[in-house]
Amino acid sequence: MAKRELEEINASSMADIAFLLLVFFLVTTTFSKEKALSERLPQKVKGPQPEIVVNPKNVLEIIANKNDLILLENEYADIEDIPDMVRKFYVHDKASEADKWPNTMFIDKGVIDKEIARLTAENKLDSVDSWQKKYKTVAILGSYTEISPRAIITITVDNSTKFKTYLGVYNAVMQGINSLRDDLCQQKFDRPYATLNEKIEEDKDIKDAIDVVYPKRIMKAKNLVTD
Amino acid sequence: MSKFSKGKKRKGPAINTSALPDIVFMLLFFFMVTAKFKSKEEKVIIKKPIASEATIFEKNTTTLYYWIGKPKDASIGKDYRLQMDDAIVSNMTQISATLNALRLNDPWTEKWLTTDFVNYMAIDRDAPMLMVRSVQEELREADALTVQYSVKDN
Repeated sequence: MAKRELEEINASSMADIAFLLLVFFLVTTTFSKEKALSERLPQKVKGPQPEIVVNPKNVLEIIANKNDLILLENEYADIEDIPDMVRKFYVHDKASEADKWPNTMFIDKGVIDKEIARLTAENKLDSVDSWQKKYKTVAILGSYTEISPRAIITITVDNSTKFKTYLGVYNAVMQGINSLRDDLCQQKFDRPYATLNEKIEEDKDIKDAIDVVYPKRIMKAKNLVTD
Repeated sequence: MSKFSKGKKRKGPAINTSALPDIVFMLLFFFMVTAKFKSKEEKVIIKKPIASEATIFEKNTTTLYYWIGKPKDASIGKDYRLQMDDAIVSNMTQISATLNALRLNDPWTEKWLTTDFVNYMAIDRDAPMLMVRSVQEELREADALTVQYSVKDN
């Protein structure tokens, strides 16, 4: 039997297939982006530490002890309880529990005008500045209720507390604050707070305004002493 | 008569594929140039904690890296250790010393003095807060106050 000459296979379309594969993987591959939780450390005070006297109602105290148990306002609690407590700390029925929660103040343009006039008369120019900034917030969000500037959330940990417990507490506090911010953003602008992009000026203004209404004011209290 | 004649195949002109390698090389070079490799080797074992409120972390030139975990190399010991850049730091004061040296000696001094360092920390979930806090104290000492804790998203 005579050998038939084998016809050469045309391989030029192999490249097409390879490219198709390449393009497919290029398009579908997503690199997992690093996620992080940010915290701003307090500035180091040179010289003697100033004594700060706080009214207990202005403080939401969270303690994580060496056994990773959590005390929320001096009662044992779970991490899951923190966001609700934080929400209550910022927004609460003023009349019924006035001695339990920080003072709040209704802010609109009239109030700011009055306050600035009063402070200028008393020559407290530093405070005038911070009130001036509130005009912008009112312009963006309308009138709002502000928590007392003395209100703080403290997180106290022991030296042997595990990092995950501290981060869990911190995360839960942020969850509470962010949910309030999100509610406000949804209500005023009909979009989630998380979609605000700081690189867009308009978004940044909105974000700043919302952050004025629900400020992140977390303080790390002094070390718990372990015996 | 059929349209699909089984007759003699006509040989079309061969497709010139000599430009294909060029294209492949172009792609190769593109990815070679844009790819960023993880340049730092982790010498400690880290299991990141979980957090829901994390945001996407974008690196920049002023990011510094810290790891806190148990050493991979058992001969170093079993205690939690801090790794900064490529080395395990034994004395915490090394942190502020390094930061201050960076501020003074770097060619971008002017920029670095004014911009804030971003301290990116990958900390093992079970690391004690004592360790975390002593690092934070050093950062405060060097006035580098922005901290990003690396977490796992849930």
